[in-house]
Amino acid sequence: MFARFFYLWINKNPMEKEKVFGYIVLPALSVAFVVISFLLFINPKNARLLKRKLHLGAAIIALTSISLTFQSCVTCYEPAQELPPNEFFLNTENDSINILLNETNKITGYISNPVASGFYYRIIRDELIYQSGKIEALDGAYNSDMEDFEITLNDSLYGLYDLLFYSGRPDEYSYDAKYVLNILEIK
Amino acid sequence: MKKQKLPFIIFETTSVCNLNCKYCYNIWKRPGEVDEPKNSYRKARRALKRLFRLADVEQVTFTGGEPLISERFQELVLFTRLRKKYVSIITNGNGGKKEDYHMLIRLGCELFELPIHSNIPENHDNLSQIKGSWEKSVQSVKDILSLGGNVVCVIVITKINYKEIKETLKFIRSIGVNRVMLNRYNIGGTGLSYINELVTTKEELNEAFRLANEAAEETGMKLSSNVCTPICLVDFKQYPKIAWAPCSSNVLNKPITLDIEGNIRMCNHSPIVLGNIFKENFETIFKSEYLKGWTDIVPEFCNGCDLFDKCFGGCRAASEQMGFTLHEVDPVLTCLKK
Repeated sequence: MFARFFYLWINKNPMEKEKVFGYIVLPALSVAFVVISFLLFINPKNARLLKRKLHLGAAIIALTSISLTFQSCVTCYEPAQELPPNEFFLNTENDSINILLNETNKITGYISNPVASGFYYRIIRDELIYQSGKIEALDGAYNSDMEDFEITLNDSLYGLYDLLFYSGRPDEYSYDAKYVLNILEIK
Repeated sequence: MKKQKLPFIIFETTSVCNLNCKYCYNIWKRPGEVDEPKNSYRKARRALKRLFRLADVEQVTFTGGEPLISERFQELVLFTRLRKKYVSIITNGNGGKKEDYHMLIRLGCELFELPIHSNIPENHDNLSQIKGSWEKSVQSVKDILSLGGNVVCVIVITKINYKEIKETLKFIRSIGVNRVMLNRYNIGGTGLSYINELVTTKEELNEAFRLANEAAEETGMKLSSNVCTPICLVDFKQYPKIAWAPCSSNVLNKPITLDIEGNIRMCNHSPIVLGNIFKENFETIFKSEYLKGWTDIVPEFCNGCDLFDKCFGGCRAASEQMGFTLHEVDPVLTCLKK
């Protein structure tokens, strides 16, 4: 009865959700988790305690991700993001970029409205990956609407490649942006 | 203390396994090696704790042995997930039950990697040397999918199963999996005792990739070849539907491997210990001369080859498993059946 009342109340008051989870449910679960873990430490063969610890842990993990989602929730005082998310831009005027190795071995650009869990790139030619990696924000954190980044090219790269950008892990072969990368050197 | 950034690490939770796969590359299964079973929750947790203190790790891939039979495995996953790391599991599909997978998915395991080497159960069981292992592996895949988990299947291409690759891929597709890693048999571990039985000819290996490429075209499956293969053995330009993952020249992009004793190796195939996280930090470990050798040393076989920068002579950890050094090329080139 109380649980149903609580469920209805929380759904009628979405702005209270974050407070309830942040200040009541999570700390309560965390305390229970610590207690169970301690009991399990004393009695490591107890299967019931182990099961409870795992269930509590799973609940904490689930709720933590819920409260993280709440941070980007649109409320009366938090406007919706107007920028489209996770757009990659290089310092070039079209879909290709020339890198003159005599001058630099770095590609620079920025990500607009970065909201993915991570950003990645791949430099490929004929389906082969020549360089890949994670893109870090130049100032160390993705915490503004536009984040600058820099990619240092490997010494072995030369000539034409495709430069692919990904928001999220790049194992699904679907990229967010593609540039033609031409690496040159004037002798 | 500044933490070392590590995109991912492979963690060997135990050396114990319930199968006896002919192709198994585990270093402790090399002939003549003393296989002292390692299976301790306390040691494993201590190693993870130390790892997270020294390094900013993004993803932990649990492997073994068979990780699902390691002591208090789910608690290790919980410990890792509570530190906000991505978790994936390499399992043989014979170590867990549906309720185990359910809990692991609840704990937030991102990906499960399981083997289905053939659509013919006998061929899979021949490779694993345990009757009924195919059935259990297939059931595990179905269970994980039914629980909403992500699965990537693994096929180890050998002399025993290369002919039915296309049918195997279609079978895997039919049970709901769209991603497959096509790993050629990489010499090492138990596999050292079965070279003649498992190694294909160059033509047979290429035939396997050709069939796989066709299957990918027909089914839309996403295939990758993850064991680095010398380009002079397989020219992957011929198989454009298969993504090729060569060994990286950047140490941070290699599958750096940790065992429960704290030993760090450059990959799970290499038997050489780079250092120990209870004795050194990563900065010291990554400064080793041995590590530099991976890019600096060109095997004699590859001298003058323009493609060396792309394939690095295949898997030279396999030559280390055979007792050679980085000066030797991937032994698949020398063991290949003519």
